Amino acid sequence: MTDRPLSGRAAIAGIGQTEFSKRSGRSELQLAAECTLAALRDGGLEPADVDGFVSFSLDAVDEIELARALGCRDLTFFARVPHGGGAACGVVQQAAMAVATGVADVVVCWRALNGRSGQRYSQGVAGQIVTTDLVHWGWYAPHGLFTPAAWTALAARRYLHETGATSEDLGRVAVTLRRHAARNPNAFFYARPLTLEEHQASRFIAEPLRLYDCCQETDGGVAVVVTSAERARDLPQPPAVILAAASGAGPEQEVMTSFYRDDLTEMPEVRAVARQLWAQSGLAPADVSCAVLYDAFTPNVLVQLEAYGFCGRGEAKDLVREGWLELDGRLPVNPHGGQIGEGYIHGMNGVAEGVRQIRGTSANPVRGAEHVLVTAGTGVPTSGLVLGRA
Amino acid sequence: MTLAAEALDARLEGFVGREIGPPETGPDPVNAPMIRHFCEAVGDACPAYLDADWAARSRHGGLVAPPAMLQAWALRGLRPPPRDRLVELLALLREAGYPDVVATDCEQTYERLLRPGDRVTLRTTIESVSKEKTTALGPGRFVDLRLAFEDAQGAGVGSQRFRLLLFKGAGGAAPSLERPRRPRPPASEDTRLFAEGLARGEIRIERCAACGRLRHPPRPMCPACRSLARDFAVASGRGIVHSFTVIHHPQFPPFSYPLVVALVDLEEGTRLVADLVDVDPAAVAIGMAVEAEVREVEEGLALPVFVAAGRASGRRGPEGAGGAARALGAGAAARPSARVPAARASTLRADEVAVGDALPPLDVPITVTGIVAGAIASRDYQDVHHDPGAARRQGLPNVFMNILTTNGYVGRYATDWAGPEAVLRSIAIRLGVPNLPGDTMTLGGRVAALAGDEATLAVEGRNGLGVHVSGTVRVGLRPRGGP
Repeated sequence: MTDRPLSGRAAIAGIGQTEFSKRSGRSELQLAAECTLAALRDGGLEPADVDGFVSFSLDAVDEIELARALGCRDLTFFARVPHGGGAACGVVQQAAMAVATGVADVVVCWRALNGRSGQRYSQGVAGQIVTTDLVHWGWYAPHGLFTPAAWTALAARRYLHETGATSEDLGRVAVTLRRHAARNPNAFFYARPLTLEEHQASRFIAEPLRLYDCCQETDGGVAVVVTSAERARDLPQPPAVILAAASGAGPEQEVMTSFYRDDLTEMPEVRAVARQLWAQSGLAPADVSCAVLYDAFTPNVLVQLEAYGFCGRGEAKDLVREGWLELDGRLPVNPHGGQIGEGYIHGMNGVAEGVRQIRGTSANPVRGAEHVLVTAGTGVPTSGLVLGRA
Repeated sequence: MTLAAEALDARLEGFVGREIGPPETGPDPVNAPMIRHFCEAVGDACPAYLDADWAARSRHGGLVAPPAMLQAWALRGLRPPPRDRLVELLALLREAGYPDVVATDCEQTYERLLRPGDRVTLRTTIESVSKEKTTALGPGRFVDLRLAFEDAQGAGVGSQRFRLLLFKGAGGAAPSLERPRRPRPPASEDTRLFAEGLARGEIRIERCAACGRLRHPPRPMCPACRSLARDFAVASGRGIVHSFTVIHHPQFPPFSYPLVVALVDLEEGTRLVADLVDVDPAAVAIGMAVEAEVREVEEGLALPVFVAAGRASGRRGPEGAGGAARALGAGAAARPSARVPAARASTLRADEVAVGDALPPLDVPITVTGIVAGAIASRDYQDVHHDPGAARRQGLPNVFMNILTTNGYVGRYATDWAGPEAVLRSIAIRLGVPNLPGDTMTLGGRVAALAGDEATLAVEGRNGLGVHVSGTVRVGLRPRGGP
């Protein structure tokens, strides 16, 4: 074992997705099968090559159902990563570890959901979303606090209070992401940019969050195929090498409601992921060409810019005002439009965008993108990736 | 579409755009006794309607009628209806499978206030009949009517758009009238001490029995010394808002919106999440001093709530806990009594009002007597408003409030706030869930717009089933800069 046992050992060799819509008209199992097959074909592989599957604990599809649909053979590895959107990069971390240790050779990570026509997360956990942690929700739901927007709003309010960032700063994030989405034909908001005035005029969902601070609800599926960096070199697509993959939870961690920490704005779980990513990859924030930051809500982007070390505490608003996040800025963020602009596939569409940036095939390619940071859900135990070229 | 359905649509189309019959003049002129009956039914004590001496000295120059009574002056009451086109239309719809009828929307515009002696004549036009729609009451069709009211000189005194829903009641999908309840905190051995505290009116904070450290939410082991031994402290309830949100959407029926939820630093050093109530959402800020108390927020559910410091009804803590426990034990006594803000005696001036101003909430207990009194006072003899059997055949458990009584409450709510010399210019309401006996409707509102001397109020009335009424009221205030 070297001192960096994971970095560079595995790569994403294939990506695939369904269309993103408000009504897929088919089962989540079918969405999962379609995007998985697309990812395998993209990578020059067949279902018979697959020996591992990883998804989110919230995914409705069972991996053996998916394997039967695809006609897979023996599986040697299957795992689930908990805590909602925090799993988006954790699934790739699990796959990379399985590949690096020889437990599996070709691992599919997928997420498929009918997030608009089926179970809508905006409708909250009031008897809808099944969770093993009912006691935890029992501290909030009886008071009417049961939507992701409402949970996020409490931390966001405190963040704005402490940093002096404003609703307009949140609006600038939304406007930037919608500008990116407007140039991405796969995005729901393709050709439909947003103005700051429209953002400021949009109704409140849970103050300080307005409608356009919130991501979409989307039907669709995304899969990526992880194999060894060595094997990936012989496959048709330029590999997106996994230079770092990490998960993190912090002290006094709760899912979406870590309300009892001294400082609500510090996000120790994100800092734990960041610390590992920079150590594993040997890179620093300044080396990142492009960042795909999880954006369920606009404040997520600001706190992550700080926790990943692109700026100091409370300075993210200045980066936004100075245009860092634009396609021609110093740190282009979410060139696909993010979950606010492209669609909400629980962060997996961000992993696919990270791969496209490495390949140079994004709708909005960042010139010379060499190192791409991809992150997962904020406010929950979370995860991240650094992708690079072979 | 089947041929029969096409034929029905064609026959319905024949009614559209036509007056239902000759104009009808109300049997009685505007008169003080009917005004008094209506005011009693909706609890309106405005002197402009009831006190001739006061009214003569006011800018009204004499008694006026509650504007919401507009339609009542022209209704036939129990006299048999003529064979007019509306009767024919309703009969046709009944045959076509829509036997039940409720009014869902009423938009009244007032040209002038009516006075005792005025005689009101009504012309009714059928504006449209919709295709079949899926509604909460079952499949149905909407009939839109336009009503024009004139005085004896032929001058317009007001107009009204009225929407009826004809639907397949008991035979169709029965409406869900199960009272939505808040989610219950699940019972767990680890959180039992907190639940037991609430049952006694206490907010307990778990304490490590070995090192004395407080922790919330409770958990079985002390994260500092790993002791499993635990007891609790009782919170004073005093605290400071650390963060908060005002929730607008989505709305879940058992809660009232906008809903303020606060994360509070308790003075003991732990934090607690609970609703912040009896407060103007716009006045909430980080750093605000609050006090917690335990309330029975609905039957069988005691929860901590925060109120602004100094507003708590009883103190918590060791010395206050016994009193709180008695209050909770008394059941209904623990629930806040009906809020009835005092009607303003002197009328608001337009420059005393700002957009966003909140109207104080008004609680209206719903009783069978109140429903029947309101229906009769508005001359609405539809059986579902006085005959429980008829209401049950329509799929409802009991008689329910008619739209004109709700309209009267909305009008009263606006003038209670604005003052007796205010002039109602319009009331536009839409009904949602029914007002049923045993429930309480809470009216709330805010100033949505201001133009000249006129304020537009956004009003909403909620009951235990959800939103009963939402709408807008335009009301003329005293002019800016005047006395």
